[in-house]
Amino acid sequence: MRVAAGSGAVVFAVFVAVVATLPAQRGAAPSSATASADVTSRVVTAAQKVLSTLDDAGRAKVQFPLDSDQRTRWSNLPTGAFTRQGLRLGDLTPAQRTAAMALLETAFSAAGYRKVTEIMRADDAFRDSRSGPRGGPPPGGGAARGGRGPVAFGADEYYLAFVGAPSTTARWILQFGGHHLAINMTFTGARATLAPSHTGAQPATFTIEGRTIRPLGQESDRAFALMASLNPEQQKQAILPFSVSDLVLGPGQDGRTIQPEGLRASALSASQQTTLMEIVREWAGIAHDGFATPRLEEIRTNLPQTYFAWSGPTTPGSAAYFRIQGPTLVIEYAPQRDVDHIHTIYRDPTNDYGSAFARK
Amino acid sequence: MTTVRPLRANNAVLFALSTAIALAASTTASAHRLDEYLQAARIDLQTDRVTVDLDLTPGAALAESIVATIDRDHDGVTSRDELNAYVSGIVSQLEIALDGQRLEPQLMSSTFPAQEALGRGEGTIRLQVRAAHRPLTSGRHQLFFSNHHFARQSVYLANALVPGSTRLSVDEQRRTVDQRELTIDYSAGAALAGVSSNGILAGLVAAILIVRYTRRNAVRP
Repeated sequence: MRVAAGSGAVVFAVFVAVVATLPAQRGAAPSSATASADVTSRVVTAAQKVLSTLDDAGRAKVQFPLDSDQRTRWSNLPTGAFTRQGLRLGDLTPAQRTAAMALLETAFSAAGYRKVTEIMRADDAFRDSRSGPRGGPPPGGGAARGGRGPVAFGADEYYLAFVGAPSTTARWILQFGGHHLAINMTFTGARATLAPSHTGAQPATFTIEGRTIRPLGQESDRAFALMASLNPEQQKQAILPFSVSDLVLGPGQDGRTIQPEGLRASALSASQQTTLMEIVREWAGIAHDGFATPRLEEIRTNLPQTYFAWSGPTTPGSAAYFRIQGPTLVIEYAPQRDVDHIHTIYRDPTNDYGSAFARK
Repeated sequence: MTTVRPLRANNAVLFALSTAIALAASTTASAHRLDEYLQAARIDLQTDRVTVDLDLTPGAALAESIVATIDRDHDGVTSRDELNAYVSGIVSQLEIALDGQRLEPQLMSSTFPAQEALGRGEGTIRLQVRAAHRPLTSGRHQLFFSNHHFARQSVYLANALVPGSTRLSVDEQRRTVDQRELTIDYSAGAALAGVSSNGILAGLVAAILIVRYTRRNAVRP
């Protein structure tokens, strides 16, 4: 973009005026803000219930200062390959674990809670496929804790942490993660964001008592449906003519924004835009509806500046990468060579860890 | 002038790699990369330089080969000099050119993962490389980036970051199918240094007047 020096003052004046007259775009509208504040209040109560089940040592384990490195310490990797801190689910008493899971159930939507617990069950299935059901550590290895020794898988290897004290007004982060899962949910009063968060699964499809579980199945199915709905010209713009073998903005890539590519959402029909928003909901909708609704509205407002990009085959069920990127959104879905091992990332380049909340 | 931070080899300086990798391979059936070397480049365009952050993650099955490459004297341990030499070798295999003129990449920093993570295919070697150039003139420019390191078994990611400077804008990115080569077409606008403080003041006054006018009209029935 070129700006002539002489026109700088005019451009600046118009910019300031436009910004000053815009309604607040981020966060809930007044009516829904009350509902969101109520959700925050319930989440804080649930967090305090977790704390009440712990002794001093447990509280020291789960609680971190807001400005600590813990805020950005998360990974897709399993225990043993990455050192997590916080409360390890496998170390909790039944009452403590129930309180921890109740906290997640309060903070997340029903679909979000199901997705998170299915990712954990996928890790159980992965562990069992390696060593037999409930088979303990992998051959040749001992128990792994906190990133030392052999890797360990399964639902016990997920960690809960509070970065900042749970509060109905001040900023704090609810962290929950393990292999293929890193939820970083930042609260500031009535507002909350999940960015950045990582989901993944291996196996991506498994069965429990005859029921087929696909933790990230909707993401894939809806994306293939959107691709199938595109006409040849739209597909040409959406499909990147090169292979994308992994996440570009995965763990460790905080603060970076890549140049968007692909098909602009403004070139989609209303029906296609609805499908695109349904894909986005699979990530944004992990949060409780009280937070997801304003977030989805924000993303919808930005659709004219949002891009959808695809790399790989378009036949449903294939291993294909896709990315959705807008002014306040980055979603990537990246099969790791095959469809049974998926990594995804969800970011908001303007509000990771609630940075925009902090500026208000 | 740029400064070069010393290499942070940390745990990797003196590790018994062969033993560690053999152990790691025997105790884990890694859920992650096996026979591919993932090399991800993120390119930050600036008005007088290009910065490339390069993350290299060798798969578990390649770790032994990578370590053998690093451990030049084959004594089973890697010294700081060997790590430096390996990193320098990577940098020498990068090609960065601006408007057809080859630039000289300089290593700014590097970090190595723990040996267990490397052996499992879950450790990432991180490099930051910088190539300085003359201040960009207004108009269109083209940056070419190519990575020839360990080409036979590598997979690549190469992306331009959104430029931090408002003077710069990326117009198009073109890649080879494997992303080993990336060409970025971008534009540089005129420097804003010519906008005087009087101009900014005038802009602010105008903005206030516009806002007041807008609000006054908004409350009228």
